[in-house]
Amino acid sequence: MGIFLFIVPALLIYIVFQIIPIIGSVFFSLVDWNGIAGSKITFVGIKNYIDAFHDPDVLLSLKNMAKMVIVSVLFHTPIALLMAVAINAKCKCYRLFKALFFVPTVFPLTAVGLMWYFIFMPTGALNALLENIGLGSLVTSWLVNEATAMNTIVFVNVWAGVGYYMVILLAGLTTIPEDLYEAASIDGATPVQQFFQITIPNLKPIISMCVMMDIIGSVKVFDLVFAMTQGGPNGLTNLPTTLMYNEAFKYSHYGLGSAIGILIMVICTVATFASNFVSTKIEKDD
Amino acid sequence: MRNKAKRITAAALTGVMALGLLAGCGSSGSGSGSDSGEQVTIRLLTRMSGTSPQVGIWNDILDEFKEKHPEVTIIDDSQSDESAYNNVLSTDIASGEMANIFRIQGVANLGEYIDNGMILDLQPYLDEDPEWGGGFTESSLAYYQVPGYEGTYAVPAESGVIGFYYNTELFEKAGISEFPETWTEFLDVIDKLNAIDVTPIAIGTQSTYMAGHLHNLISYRWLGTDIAKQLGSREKKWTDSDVVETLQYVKDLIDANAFDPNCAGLTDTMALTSFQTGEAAMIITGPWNISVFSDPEQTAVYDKIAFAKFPYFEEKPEYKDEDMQTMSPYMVSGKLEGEELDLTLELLKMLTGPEATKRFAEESATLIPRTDVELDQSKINPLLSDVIAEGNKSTGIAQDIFDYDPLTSMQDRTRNSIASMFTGATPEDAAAEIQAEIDSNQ
Repeated sequence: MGIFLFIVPALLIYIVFQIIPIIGSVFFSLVDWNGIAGSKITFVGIKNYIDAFHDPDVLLSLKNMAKMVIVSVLFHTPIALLMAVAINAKCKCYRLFKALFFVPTVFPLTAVGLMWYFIFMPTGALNALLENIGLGSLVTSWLVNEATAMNTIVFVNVWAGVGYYMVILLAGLTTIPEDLYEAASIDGATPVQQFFQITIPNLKPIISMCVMMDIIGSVKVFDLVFAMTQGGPNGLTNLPTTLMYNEAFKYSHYGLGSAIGILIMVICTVATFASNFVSTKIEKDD
Repeated sequence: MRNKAKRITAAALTGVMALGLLAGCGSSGSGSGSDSGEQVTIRLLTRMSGTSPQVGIWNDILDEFKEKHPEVTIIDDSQSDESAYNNVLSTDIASGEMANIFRIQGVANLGEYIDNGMILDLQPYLDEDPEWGGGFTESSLAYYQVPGYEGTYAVPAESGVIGFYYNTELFEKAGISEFPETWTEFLDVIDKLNAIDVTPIAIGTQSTYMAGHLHNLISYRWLGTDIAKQLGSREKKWTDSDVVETLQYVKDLIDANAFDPNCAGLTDTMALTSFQTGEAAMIITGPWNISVFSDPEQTAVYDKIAFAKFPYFEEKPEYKDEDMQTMSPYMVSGKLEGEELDLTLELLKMLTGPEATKRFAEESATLIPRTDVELDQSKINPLLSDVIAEGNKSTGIAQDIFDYDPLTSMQDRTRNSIASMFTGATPEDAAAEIQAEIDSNQ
């Protein structure tokens, strides 16, 4: 019995900071409230959810989120894996490369966003570079142009996250016994064959964990967008997270804001289960 | 036996930890006292933060008040950044824990806050102390007399006409002898400035308020300041042809190359810098930037800057002096009572009284609209003198158009849609987008 008492503090923290806010969000997503203490709270059922799915801003933000998730998953883990394999080969200066690749992860995303903002702004470093190397025709307002704004943010998210997944995969690589590679070499397997036949199969659980974390992380991106565009121009780069913030805290639409918050939670949960299901199935098939 | 002792110790320790946590969640029990002699806490939430001369005077007054009342603790949560300010304010509004002195922009929603007892009616206190209350200009107090409610719900902390600050040297270089009075002359000036490769108007519409201010000025010159109230009351629609015309004038300026072609990717700071360094000839802003424009360390062209009102349309001379003015209020929490209320009002009087008004105007070019203060003209910034003179000619004043709109999302909606015209949207698109926001919330 005493042992269970030890979990009480952690449980209390979990309940106070996780469960109660979730219950609160669910409650607010089912009511209409103008955000003024003391004013009337009206139960409206699932109206806020219906409104959300009819709101072009929400639909655009979901599309942006899908782009963010897909591109991140397609690029984060593969690039991180190649970098981890390269570093694990312990080539010359591998410690320096390891540190360099990991540096973006150390910076707060807000700082990363601001740094890239200054690179991508109309009078920024990228446009100056393009002008100087004779590619002036490519100069554009990267964070304003409809064709480039969201893609630019997605690119920065990939850049900022690769180092993190590299470190996780690098840790996984060190657990693969050297004997396997030695035996494969004796049998005449090329490095590419070793990569696909030994490295990838042994890293499957870690790769699936990276993918799962990547999906959840990409759904929850907020600070990067906030620092670079604040969701603009005209809502073009909004993600559900920034939209939720705007609706709830800027416009006092607590119902709609909470409904978007719950949607984000549901998406994260479904993505986690789906990712787990797929990785378990792949492992079983093996 | 030892196991039993261990279990008891473990249980006791866990209990202490849990209690500590619960204690942490509970109220500290401190807070604002109201009885005489007790410690009183006054919390302030304004935009007076940073390192400007204006903030220096604000801090001096707070220090003076603290010296006079050592029993008072002042918590100054003021935020200079609009977004940060709004975050704190919306949390206060949602929790009902308003700061003693705060500000809410706009008047359309004040009724809801008054209904919930969040804002104090200051009229009895203005009447009670005519030396303080009688000094404010009537129009500034009238702005905070909310239709349907008796009383006055704020006192003005800053006011002044928003218009053009322009670089006289660049104007001379372009062969322009004086600031244009009419729209046609204005378009001619833009051509002349473009001819000498100078950006006519500095604007950075990534800070969308800059696009909003431009449109406000055009709207008030084309339709008068009443248009803001008419749109807010839904008497008029954004898609009405005359309202679309106001957006068309913004587009006309874009087409006339009045702005940096990359302005949609620039912020207000970048736009200000281009004006301060002499790269751009004009900028639309308010008196809050006068101290910056007059500082040689911050503004290279500090001695070449003059102020002028926005040009008027020849077809609409009746709206020549319908002006956009900034009007920052101080409001007092409606939940205060006893000594805490008395002390808060005393501080409010110190911040907005004749003495403070004189200091703010002479030392920081900040104008509190009072009629009972003799300003020393030799100490007044010439730009502020011009702003005061032009402001005195106003036949009608209004702030941002959305200030009169009951929808809180209209600040972003109007500014975003107007800014979208700088990236190719048509005036009709912008008008339809803004109107759609209203229609979807009805």
